[in-house]
Amino acid sequence: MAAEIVNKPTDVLTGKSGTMTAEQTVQPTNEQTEVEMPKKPTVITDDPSALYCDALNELNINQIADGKAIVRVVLVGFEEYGKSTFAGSLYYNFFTKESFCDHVLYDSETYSGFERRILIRRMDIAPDIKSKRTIKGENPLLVMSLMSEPTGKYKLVISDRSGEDYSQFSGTLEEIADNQLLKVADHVIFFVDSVKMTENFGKLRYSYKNFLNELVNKDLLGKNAQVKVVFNKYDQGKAHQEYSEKKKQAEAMFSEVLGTDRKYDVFEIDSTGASDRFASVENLTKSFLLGTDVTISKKKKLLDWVNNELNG
Amino acid sequence: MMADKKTLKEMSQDVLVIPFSDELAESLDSFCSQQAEDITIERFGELTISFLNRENDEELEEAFETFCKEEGVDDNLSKTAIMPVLAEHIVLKSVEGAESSEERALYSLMLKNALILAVKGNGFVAYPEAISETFSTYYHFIMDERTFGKEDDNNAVTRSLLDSEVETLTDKINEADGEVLKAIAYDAALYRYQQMVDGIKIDSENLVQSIYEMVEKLVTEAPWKYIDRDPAETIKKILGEAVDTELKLDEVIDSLYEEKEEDDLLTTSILMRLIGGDDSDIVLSRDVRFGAAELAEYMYYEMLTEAIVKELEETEE
Repeated sequence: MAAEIVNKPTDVLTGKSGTMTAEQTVQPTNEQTEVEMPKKPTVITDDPSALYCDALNELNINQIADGKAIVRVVLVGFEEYGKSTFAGSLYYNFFTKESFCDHVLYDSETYSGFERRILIRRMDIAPDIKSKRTIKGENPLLVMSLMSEPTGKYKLVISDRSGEDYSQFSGTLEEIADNQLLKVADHVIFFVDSVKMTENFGKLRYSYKNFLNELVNKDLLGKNAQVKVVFNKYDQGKAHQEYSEKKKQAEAMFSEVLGTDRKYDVFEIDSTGASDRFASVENLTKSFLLGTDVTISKKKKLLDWVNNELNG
Repeated sequence: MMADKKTLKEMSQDVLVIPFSDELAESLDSFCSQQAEDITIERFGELTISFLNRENDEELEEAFETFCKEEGVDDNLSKTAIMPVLAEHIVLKSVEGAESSEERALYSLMLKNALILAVKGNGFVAYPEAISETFSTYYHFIMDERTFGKEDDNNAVTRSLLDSEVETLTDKINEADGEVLKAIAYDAALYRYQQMVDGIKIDSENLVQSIYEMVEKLVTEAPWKYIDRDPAETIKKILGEAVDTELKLDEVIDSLYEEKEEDDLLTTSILMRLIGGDDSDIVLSRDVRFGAAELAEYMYYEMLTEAIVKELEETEE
């Protein structure tokens, strides 16, 4: 575009006046608007997400290990089932309260990742915002540094992938490599959208069954993982007449695919906290926070060779 | 349970979010094997304390960095998290791969002694199952290589020796089966040991001092340091009613402070070091409590280990 000539106001100090050339803003070209998908960084120094505490991924998550105990929680579910809302609510409760479930949040390497989840949690309140929820391929791993009196300090790592990662899951080698955390998770939480369950149980059943079969067949569920099935949006779901019946059928589906050897706990929650002031969120959270030192006392017993000898 | 890449991968699960991959575990296992080769008693003790205290051993860290550079291994791992795991793995490999059964028994005793930091304190152990598999090493060493007995032959040879004239005794001994002679000597030592044990009395008014003296006697005045196959029973028998009396660590240290002035204690002889006034690298609350028998057993094995090391060093000289 041609430069425009504009009048420059009189310089107050020198009394001089003159003209200046103002250049029009150059319109960006198509090349400049192309956004490069960032490669997953392998070292923290190359990792821009480290600069502003964004979520991490499976290639750089080990850098948060500092010798303290680690609890790994994987949130599983399809699009808009409420995983990120739950993660946001969890963070919100820890951040705004002195303690939550008797545990205190004292630090996080992924504050921004959590803040983003709080932002998108509000999307139901501001439905005119069209931007997507957790994006496919976005870093999914969130970290909280927690402490409690019986357990001391420890790290809580939460995997919150986009629902599309799961709805499009087909068990390829790349997907398996990207889901290493699922194999070693301490807790795997399957989210079920109670509203979708009552409105279109057949579709939910079909999608979840296929997905669960992939997980089981590819041996992606660690044998020591504590499995939970969470009926999210239960406050809305239970308003439907068929809620209880559909819930039973959903549980039966999980039992069928996971097998009778695999026990799981069932929770009903409102991950927004709007209907119950986070009572159900708190209940679910208590189930995966580091408990009293059951593991530590088991370890000590095994190592207590003196008392084992004395007691024959 | 062998200390191999599988156990190393298992250990890493305790300290990392995503455990070592198979490839990385294999590489690190190889590094640990290198470190375990030709390990000295002193180095074994240093690594044991470093993993229990969850501290990075500087020498190990430097060796690790060099290894990563040479082998092209990604060293972008949290060293704070993995160094103690590598140290623990090296310690396990050292026990497993010791040159002799005596050395293996010694390393297992040193490891057991140091575990007081985990049992009574917050010492870190990544893989207790693998560690606990080493516990019976000393017992098997005693039973397989320090126990002698051929009862029928014993009596015949004993009679022959006792009936012979002193002048011809040497010839009789030379004729006899070496194993039988050892069995006879073992029986004699056992008898003498039993006599000694029966003569030990506990003063319940000065229980800590009594325990120390009892244990010192059992180790240093026994006719043979490997004579007792079940020290736990011996200790319980001597202590009698005092067996479960509770004692606090600071009480033990105060009662025995500088009882034994030894500069050259093993790093893994935790109680002996505390008694001697050396608490460097020892992370253990002074409020920790022991039963009397428990305290005696810890002390016994620490003193026994020191005695074995002293003998080994004298043999090498």
